[in-house]
Amino acid sequence: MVERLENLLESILQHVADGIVVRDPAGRLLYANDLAVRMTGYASAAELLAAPPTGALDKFELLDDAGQPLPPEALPGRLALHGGTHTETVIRYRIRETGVERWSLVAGTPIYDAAGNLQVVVSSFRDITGEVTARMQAEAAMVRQTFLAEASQELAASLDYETTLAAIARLAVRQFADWCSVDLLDEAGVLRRLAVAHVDPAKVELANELVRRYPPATNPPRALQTGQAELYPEISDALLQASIPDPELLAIIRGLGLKSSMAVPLNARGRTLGVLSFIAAESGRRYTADDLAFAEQLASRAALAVENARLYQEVQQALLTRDEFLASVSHDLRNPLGALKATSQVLQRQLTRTGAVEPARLHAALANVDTTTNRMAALIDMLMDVARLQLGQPLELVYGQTDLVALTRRIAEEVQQITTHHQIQVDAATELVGEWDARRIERVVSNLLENAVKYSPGGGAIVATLTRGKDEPAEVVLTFEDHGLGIPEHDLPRIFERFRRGSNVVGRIGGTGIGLAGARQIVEQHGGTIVVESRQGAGTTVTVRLPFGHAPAGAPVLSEIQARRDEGSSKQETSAT
Amino acid sequence: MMDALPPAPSRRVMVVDDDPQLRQSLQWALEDEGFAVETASDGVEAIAQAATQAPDLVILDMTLPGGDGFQVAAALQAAPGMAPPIVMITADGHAAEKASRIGAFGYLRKPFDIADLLSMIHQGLASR
Repeated sequence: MVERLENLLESILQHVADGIVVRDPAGRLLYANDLAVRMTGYASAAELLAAPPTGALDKFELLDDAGQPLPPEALPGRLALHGGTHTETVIRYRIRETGVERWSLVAGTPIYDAAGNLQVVVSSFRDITGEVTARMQAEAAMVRQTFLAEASQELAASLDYETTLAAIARLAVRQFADWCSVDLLDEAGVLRRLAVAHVDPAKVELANELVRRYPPATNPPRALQTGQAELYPEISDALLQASIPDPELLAIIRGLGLKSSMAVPLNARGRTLGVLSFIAAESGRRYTADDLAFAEQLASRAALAVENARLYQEVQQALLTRDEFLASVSHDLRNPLGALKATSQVLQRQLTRTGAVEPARLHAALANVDTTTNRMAALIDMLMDVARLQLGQPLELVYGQTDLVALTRRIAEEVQQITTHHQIQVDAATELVGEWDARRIERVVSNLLENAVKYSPGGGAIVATLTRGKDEPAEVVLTFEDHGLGIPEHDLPRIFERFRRGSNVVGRIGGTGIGLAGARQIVEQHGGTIVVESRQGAGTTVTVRLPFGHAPAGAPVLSEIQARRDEGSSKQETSAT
Repeated sequence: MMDALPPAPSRRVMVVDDDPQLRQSLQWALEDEGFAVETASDGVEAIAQAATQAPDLVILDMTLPGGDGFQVAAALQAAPGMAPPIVMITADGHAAEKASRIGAFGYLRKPFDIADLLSMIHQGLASR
């Protein structure tokens, strides 16, 4: 009966889902079920029973739920041996041999006889690694989702992406990283640190100091170049040494105790705008592939927000420039209209009063009208060309035999009329004749000379030179030099863009911002080049290289009648004033 | 109204505008009315001429090469014993605001009627 009961008990103990060991009051093992044998890493119950009392524990590094070392005395079985009652606790342990961490729910129960003497202690272990891992992953996913939701809200809240990204970095350090930094490429393509966050303000200050001493542009993260996310689960010293050549910086970074990091590119519309970096240090966390996938998700939202904000700014800027352009065009059309109206009214008034207008005045007045209508027609032509430029359509060039020297001298005389304190000088050979669209080249020359006048308010010499280029194919080299305000260096790369003007003249000197864009369009369509050299405060030199054009086969030729008419009116223009 | 206030031939009006055609027409119109007319094509020239000619009234365009209308107006008003009334002419928007900023007597937007200009000149001279 007793034997049957023992067999039954043995059978039950073998089939429960827990590892079970039984010790006598001296701590000696009396019994271990198969699961306990397997969980402690022994080959058989006999081997485990024969092992010294601490033998089983030596194989493990015991930790509590929070990851702190746990003394063996705190185990429920030990507590029960020393007069305790039934206790249960979650143990985290690392298997020394493999480094693998597992979790176990451990219980210890003392069993006393009727007289109150301790008979045995029963300890049970249930492996809960699966449950714990699942719970931790769920928690991490929850943290990430919460973070992503908060971050998305931040990103959607404002078009001021610099502030938004800084807010996201701060959010990240609360939930996801010990350090978070945002680096963005600026307009010139230089990587700039937009934000860095850490819970400790002193560390943020240190990071800012590091950025001042070692700008991110000098050692850009690889993610920026490749456009691919980078994961460093474990930052080893070898990795630090390999990626930080500067010994002083290396020493500082070593002192920060960095453990794990991720760098994800901010990609939008096929371009990499910058890099988002997350670093784990004090928390001891290690980033995983899940974290990286999440970081990429966050980065793609952030990149989209940056891109949208930038597009919005561009649209705003474009609207502003369009308004300025319309105001400027209206100004440019009202001026000649003013002259036309005044001229016609002067003649009317005189006719009304005296019944006649003397021929000399009539002649001059009509020449005025002609010149002014030409100016308006030229302005409208230019507007039409701007429209073509906007639509990306080429100009229909009207080729004709033209002497560039005569053309330049004539324009120089005209521009000289609007100023007394500039001296416009033309240095050139007697003639340089080729086939060009004369009216459009006129526009280029007059635009460049008017710019020279307009942007040197202090007056002074303006020199136009025309020479025959030395290189093949044969070309005319025209330079226009002034000693005026010049163009700030950072504006130079974009000065030929439509509606783009020097930041030192916007709001101070009127202009449409289409002159140079139109000039380049005309010059390039003639197969030539236009280059601006300038120093702010010192002046500007524009060099135009224009091949001695030959009208391409099939290009329309200006009718002779129209050519003569244009020539006639421009002669009147110069004789009238 | 103009007949009621015939201008003395000695009244000097200066026209400051960078548009040669407009300068010419205004010169004719004002000379026909008996004014002595000086013209200037830019700010520097205007300030220099005003200093020697002491005009009784200045017709001033706001957009000029070599110093804009604001600078010219400031220079005219700062010169001791001068401060001629200014009639501002402009092709720009915000004309009223600009006119009041430079302390102009009146303003006209281009294109304008000669009759309106003359009437404003007479009022300006009478206000001195």
